Amino acid sequence: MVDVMVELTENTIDTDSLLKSVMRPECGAALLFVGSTRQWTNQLETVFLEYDAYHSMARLEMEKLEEEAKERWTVREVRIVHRLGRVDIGEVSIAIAVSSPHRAEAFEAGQWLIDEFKKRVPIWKKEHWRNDGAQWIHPLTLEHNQSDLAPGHNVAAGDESPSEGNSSSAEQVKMIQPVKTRPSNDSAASNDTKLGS
Amino acid sequence: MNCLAKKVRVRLFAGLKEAAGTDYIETEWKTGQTAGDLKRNVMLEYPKLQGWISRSRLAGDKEFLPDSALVCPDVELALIPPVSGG
Repeated sequence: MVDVMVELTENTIDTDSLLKSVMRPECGAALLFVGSTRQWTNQLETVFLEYDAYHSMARLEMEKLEEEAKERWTVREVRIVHRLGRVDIGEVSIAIAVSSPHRAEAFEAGQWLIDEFKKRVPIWKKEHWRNDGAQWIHPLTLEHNQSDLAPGHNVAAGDESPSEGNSSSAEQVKMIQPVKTRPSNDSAASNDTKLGS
Repeated sequence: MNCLAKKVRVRLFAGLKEAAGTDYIETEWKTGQTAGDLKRNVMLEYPKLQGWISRSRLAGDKEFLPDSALVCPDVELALIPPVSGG
């Protein structure tokens, strides 16, 4: 088997093989994180997601994440696979596998890897909604994808209509924004959309 | 390093690419220009993309560049809007 550490693929991710590929006799723990396409973001229904990437840079950033994880924790093996193109509901878009002699390191490294991935790796998702067209998702802040730091928070649908979807105006930029910091009834922010991912 | 004035290409992605209607834009390179300078110049040249570019990071040779970094035009440049992989 080819020892691929990071991978971008348009095919279904074989998570079983990925998990097995990190298991080692000296490791008592192996961890698999799987991110998949969620159907509902409050009242908005996703039909499928479409992922695009700056391929060469995404690979480099993923390799850096693996190296950094190995420097920070006593982890033996790290694998990251991200899917590109169309990903249907329930299908896996990202899988991260980590092995370590003891479980604490694998858990910590795994959490860090997915959090950092969402901040740094140049990959983007486009939501294809049931009734509202399609929309590239760009978190509001560069530092954090807040929607993922506060799982389960209230997510409200935006009021944009499909007719606005092709606008090139900067004011029409759709952004994820955490509920707590969203200005209420602020006309300048009325086009911001809060979406979980 | 010999960076003479010339046009450089900046790659675009995702919503920024869609807003621009093209997968790259061109801007004039000036000697001694930093990443921050380049972003400001591009915003002036493409006012419709100002909101997008102000939220994007510049990458040179596939690495994020701080605003203070001097960039040679010989590297591949890209504007990276907020990412949403995972």
